Amino acid sequence: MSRVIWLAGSSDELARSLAASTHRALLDAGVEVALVDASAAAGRSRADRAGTLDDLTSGEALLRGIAAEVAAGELGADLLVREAWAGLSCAGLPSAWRSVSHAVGRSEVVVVDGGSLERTRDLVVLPGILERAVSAFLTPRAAMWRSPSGRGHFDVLAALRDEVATWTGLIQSPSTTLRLVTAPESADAHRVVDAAALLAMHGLAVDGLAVHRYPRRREAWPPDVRVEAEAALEVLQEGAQGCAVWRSTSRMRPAPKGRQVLEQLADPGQVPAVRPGSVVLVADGEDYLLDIPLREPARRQARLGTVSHAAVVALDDTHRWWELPPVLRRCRAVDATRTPTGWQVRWTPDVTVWPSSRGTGQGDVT
Amino acid sequence: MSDERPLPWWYSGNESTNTNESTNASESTNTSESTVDWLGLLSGAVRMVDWAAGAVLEPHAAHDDPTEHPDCLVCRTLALVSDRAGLVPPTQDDATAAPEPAEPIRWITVRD
Repeated sequence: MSRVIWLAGSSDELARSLAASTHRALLDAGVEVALVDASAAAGRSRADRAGTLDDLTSGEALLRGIAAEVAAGELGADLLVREAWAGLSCAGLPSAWRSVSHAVGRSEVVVVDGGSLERTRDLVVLPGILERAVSAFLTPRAAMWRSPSGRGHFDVLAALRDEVATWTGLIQSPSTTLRLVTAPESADAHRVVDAAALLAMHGLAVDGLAVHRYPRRREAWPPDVRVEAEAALEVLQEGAQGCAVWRSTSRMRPAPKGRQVLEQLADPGQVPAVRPGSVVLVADGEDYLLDIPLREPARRQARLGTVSHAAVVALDDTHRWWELPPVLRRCRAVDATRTPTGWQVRWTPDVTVWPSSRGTGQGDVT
Repeated sequence: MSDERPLPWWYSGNESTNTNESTNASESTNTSESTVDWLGLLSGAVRMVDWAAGAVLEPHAAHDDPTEHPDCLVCRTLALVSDRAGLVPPTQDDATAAPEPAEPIRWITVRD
């Protein structure tokens, strides 16, 4: 799989500048690199162009397949106007994801311009929502609608689920890292730190935080601007938690001085992110302990829950779900405590769901 | 041994026994016999429509609830479409196959 460097900023322009400088640095280093524009601006331009609306088949299949097409068919009218759907920002998200996944595997490095923090948040949260929504529809009962042609609603949704799973895999891949850039203002820096925690909760690990454009000492910037820039840099350094922090004083610097753009700017094992392998389960006597790595402020502000066979962490109106390992499906979460690196959840066997021989400690002797 | 075959039930036209006419394509397209064939087919189609109306649509006209008439082709189609759109709740027979209602999230307090 390609090395993916995902970039986002407190504004679209900052993210674009960082993406351009990263792309330029990799080209200068002789690396085969693809630059993918996944920002909201790209979505708008795609929607404006005639003919590219066919790219929206993922989101459209979901909408049409679930309800709208059936309703339209019964009313004898086509309720869907493709141009209207394309104007929605959410309709451009699957299209942006397709552009990213199309580039992955075709180039050594893929640089993704994720646009603003809000745009990247929508892009990263979408696969988890789609995966659960589509899977909920793919029941055995719905399988009766599988079409012999392979193009029925069930088949379209099954294909969409598989496609979305590749997006999730791309987010959680160890070869994918996120770099965020902020304007030299403390409020924006706080937003970047918050976004880093939320995106790491969804599996996208952050390895670099930058502030641009930072005033040079010899430049005659007003004192207030300089104080604000220093405060922004301090916010990033306090919220770094293992990832690199740098300031850029003229042209956008794609990596800290003396570091290569392509290298991991932080040790993946030391950067908190909810990824496969980073959520650790250990036995503790009869109980089990589940360690969930979380960045600040997610460690303090997020909520933990369980539903059916899944655990859920909720933060800022987003939910990160993951299927529990089989042993925990027969246990109850009885306690959760904050640790320096995240949470530790204690699970105890639920005697009501274990077989009687296990639950009572006695065999079925006849 | 007679080579005459029984006429199909849907055929109402005059059957031509002149096989020589079919050997000349340019002639056959302009002859009155080919026109008669088309009329025969059309008549057969009309009979099929009449049969469908009599056998399917007329009995269905008395059906109020599609789910109570699984043997009726129209009712069955309507029931399937309605079920697909989520307009009809699952019957008792479908209870085992119906998806379970969404389970609420059980939130757990995280302590310091």
